[in-house]
Amino acid sequence: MQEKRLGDLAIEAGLALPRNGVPLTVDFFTYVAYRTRRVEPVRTQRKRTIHSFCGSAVKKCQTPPEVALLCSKAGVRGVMSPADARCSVVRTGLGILLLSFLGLACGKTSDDRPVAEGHEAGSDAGGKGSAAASNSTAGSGGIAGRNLGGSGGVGELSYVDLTGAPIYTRVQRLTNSQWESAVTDVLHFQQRHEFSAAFTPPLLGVTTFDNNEQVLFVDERRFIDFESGAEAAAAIATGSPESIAALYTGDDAAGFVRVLGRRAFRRPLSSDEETKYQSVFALGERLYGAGFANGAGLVVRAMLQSPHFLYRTELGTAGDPLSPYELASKLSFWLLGTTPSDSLLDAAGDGKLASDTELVAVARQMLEDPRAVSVMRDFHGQLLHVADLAQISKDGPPEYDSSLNPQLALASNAFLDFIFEQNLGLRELLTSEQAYVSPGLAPFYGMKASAGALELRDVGPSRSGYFMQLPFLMLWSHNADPDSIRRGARLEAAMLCGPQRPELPGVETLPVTPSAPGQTNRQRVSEFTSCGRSCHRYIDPLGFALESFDGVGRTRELDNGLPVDSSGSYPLAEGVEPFVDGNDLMRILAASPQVHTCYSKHVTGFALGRDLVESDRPLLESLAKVSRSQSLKQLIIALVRDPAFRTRKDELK
Amino acid sequence: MTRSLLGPQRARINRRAFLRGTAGVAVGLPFLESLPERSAWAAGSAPVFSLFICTVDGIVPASFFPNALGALTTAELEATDKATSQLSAHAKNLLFLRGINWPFESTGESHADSLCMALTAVAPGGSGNMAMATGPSADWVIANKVQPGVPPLTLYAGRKGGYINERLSFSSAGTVTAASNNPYELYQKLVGIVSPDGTPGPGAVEAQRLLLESRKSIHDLVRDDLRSLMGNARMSSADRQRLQQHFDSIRDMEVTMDGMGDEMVRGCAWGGVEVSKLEALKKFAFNQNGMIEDIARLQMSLVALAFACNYNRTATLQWGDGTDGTIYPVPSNESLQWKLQYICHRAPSDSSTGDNPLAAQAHAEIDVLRMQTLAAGLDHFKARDLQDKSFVLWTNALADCPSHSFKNVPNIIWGDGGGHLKQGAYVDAGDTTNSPLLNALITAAIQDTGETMETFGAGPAGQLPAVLA
Repeated sequence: MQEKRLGDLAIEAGLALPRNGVPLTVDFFTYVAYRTRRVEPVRTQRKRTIHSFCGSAVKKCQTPPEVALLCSKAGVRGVMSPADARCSVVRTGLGILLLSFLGLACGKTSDDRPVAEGHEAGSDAGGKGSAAASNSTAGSGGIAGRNLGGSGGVGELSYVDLTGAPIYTRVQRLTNSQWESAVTDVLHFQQRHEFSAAFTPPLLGVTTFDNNEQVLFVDERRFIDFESGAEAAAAIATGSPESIAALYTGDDAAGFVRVLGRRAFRRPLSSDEETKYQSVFALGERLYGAGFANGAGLVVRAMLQSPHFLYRTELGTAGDPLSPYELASKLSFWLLGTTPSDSLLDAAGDGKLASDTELVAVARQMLEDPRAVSVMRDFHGQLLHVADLAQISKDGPPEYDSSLNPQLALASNAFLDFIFEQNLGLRELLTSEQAYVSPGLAPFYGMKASAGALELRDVGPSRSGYFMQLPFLMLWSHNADPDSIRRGARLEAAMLCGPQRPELPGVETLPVTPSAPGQTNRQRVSEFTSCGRSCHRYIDPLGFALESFDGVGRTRELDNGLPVDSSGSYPLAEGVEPFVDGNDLMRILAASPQVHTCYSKHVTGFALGRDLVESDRPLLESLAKVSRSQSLKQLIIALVRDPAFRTRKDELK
Repeated sequence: MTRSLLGPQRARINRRAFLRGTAGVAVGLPFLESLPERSAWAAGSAPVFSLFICTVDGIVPASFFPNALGALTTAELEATDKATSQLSAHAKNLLFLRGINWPFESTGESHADSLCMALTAVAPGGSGNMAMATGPSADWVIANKVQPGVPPLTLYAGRKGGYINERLSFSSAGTVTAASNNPYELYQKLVGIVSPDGTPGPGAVEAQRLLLESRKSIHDLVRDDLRSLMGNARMSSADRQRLQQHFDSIRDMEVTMDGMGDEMVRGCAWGGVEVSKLEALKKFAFNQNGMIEDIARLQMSLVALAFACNYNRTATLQWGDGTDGTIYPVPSNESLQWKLQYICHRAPSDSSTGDNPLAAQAHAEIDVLRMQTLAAGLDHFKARDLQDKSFVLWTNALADCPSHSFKNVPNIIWGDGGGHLKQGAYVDAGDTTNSPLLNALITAAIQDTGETMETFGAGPAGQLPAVLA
């Protein structure tokens, strides 16, 4: 038969996979590599044809059933899945519990049970990081027991999904917010002028964070944004003698170009560049008339539109350490959200960022800067969808009105700031019995309102951490009732990093009207999700653990007159963990290697501005160990120390 | 109003003015003369402008269109008790259309799937609320033909950050275009090209000349820097592509300026635009208590202005997020205070449906309100004499609520699209998909290129006879 790409056959077979809502046909080889534990570079896989691929898989008993089927369709015989009867001898002989990749559901098979303790679940292909080891301290969310896209594998453990698509860019465009902060600092403005308010907004929903390289580019609209922004900023920066004096104290074009250029480009200008921008200065005076402001204004406009300003670059050899100036920029934009200060550039120029000790000292200093609090607030805000709090709308609960929305956002941000500023970490985020309470929120916590606008208060042992506080609970609910599925899905995405779980046909019809007599919300949802929606085994237990909170976040013991059941078990990567209620679950999550690996994934993705992939897993597992026992700040420092942060990552050609 | 051309605003001007300003520039590289001529105004035949509007959460069919097919007149339309009676002043420029279906049934989230199909006429991909179109939308197809490199305007009225955000405009399969939900953003882009009376004064002309001349020099510098970066052997192909996109955007921006035409054409003036309301949106905070209608009207007024100034040839406006949260201030919703999504479902639920009669009545009232807004928007197009230079398509992602049907979705067309489209009638498409409709509309929009479109979307092929003049 004619040679076909496996991806094409997959499409014909309806196996194209969704990722972020986009058919992932072009990344099918990534998927195959991932399912077969072959973490070969994607580019290598893509060059392979169906025959070469399938030929290499013959008789290995490691091929997912759907891939084996494709191979069979392509005429390559002998490609077997672990479930193939022909593999049973191998399975028995190795004493390995092989996982079914088939999309079974309904709980009708004996496979529909957690992977038994004591087995090395998912060790069938010898991939690294097989985190399903029985020892809960071993592994941290490796690639064992995988189930992709809700395909419904049964008996599989959860895992931290690392199937991103990084391009390892050398030219990372500033975000709108970074641009605004950088312009403010480069031009020594006393305040932000919010030029970027009229910029094209970031494309949301494609990546977890808006600083991901995939969504940062310059097209015509953004070019116009940056041009008009630069013109507006230059007009203010050179609009008065005072503003010019704040920019540069001298009166010579050469000095101005040199000083402003280093600040804007975050490195000294080359001699050619100095000459070029001095010509721009002269052109400004020629066009607009003699005068320092006219020359300086055009230089400001030009520099703020240069790619050397708009992009943070990493131009060294792959595998080599970043240059001191590149490191200064990378650190400053990550931790402070802005361009490096003059003193940091001085330090870079003096070679003071070369050693671990010096770099870590700078990072520690930044972490105590108020701007770092804002950056980490943005990080947590995007991760936990804090902006959505402004959109809460409820019909039913009389105590709720939309004026609470801003209070929820303030309380959420204050708590997340508290975690960061007080040198706490993910454990406390998940288990703290303190929350920020405003007068409007106090009654929902069963408290009397205090005089203060927003206070850190003890909310008692019935509420462990952020996910049992009002902002999360009110956001993910249907009016007065909990939305167990979305609570679970959001918690899973934020803390467990499972793969995207596409909704299946029919989900729209979930009956959320009040439960029938004698039926709890949990029973109603369970009934709906019990058959054909096996991905709910990774979602529903998390949501059900929060059943002791109603749709406005109040504690409850009864649901529809029946006792609330918030117990369950969860198939963490390190093993199935039973829990008696939400508090118990939060304690388990706070100790889970998978959860700390997931959090490390988010922190690292935000720091590096890219997706994470399997080759990053060792780094994430190393960071997870720090996170399990130390604070977020210490996690950040650990990342700063790591070569992954300090060296130029090899890119895909 | 008076605005400095050297302030935050950005001026756009035509090709000749731009070239006039280049004399005597010290810093420069080969520039506009080497660029391809892509100005629509310069193409010899008049351009046709197109606005595609899609709102959400369905209509109440029984009270929406007139009862009978046939000619539309102001008097007869006004006399009906239907929601579309609000458009009666535009009757002679209107074409009501029934019998159009989305080409595929929903396989997941109907609110997202329907938006994805509205302007693409192909099956949705992805899943659930993350569904994406599997092909480009009509606006991008038009833009790529009439102004290559100049993206369509992509606008939005409604909340962002909801369950389903923008899903209307797709540059290609799976690539949704970010939409602007604050009219202030487009307003800012138009400031500088529009003068109060349509004629820039001598001072403004000189200021524009200087601005353009200085911009040219800066563009050249930026190109130089980009070339230098692209020449770095360590750059990956992905990075080179990214930098090339930046590089190309400069040319595209200049071509857009080129496309502005020689003169400030008639209608390229602020008249009728609610400038004070737009200025007030500088600090934008969307609320869900009816603000959506103001935003939709302002967006339409700016699109009309942008068309009159030949700022852009095509635009989309998504009117509401997929599961819209607007609590409409209509009488029957006073006691309910339900968001539109609940009104559509006839039950206070995002997921289940009911039969609340008050919600059904509220929905009919919302239809009337939305038609009032559409009429106000069309007033701006009419005031700028765009009825024979453009068309506006209004549709809804769903045909009916609470059924969420994809069959017989409502379509209203305003303007004859450069003489290509029928006007003043209520017609039946004959139970077909939106492919032939979009074939006809795209053909109208690209007619100055001499091309036609016969095979857009999943089919059937050919232009819908019922809408052709």
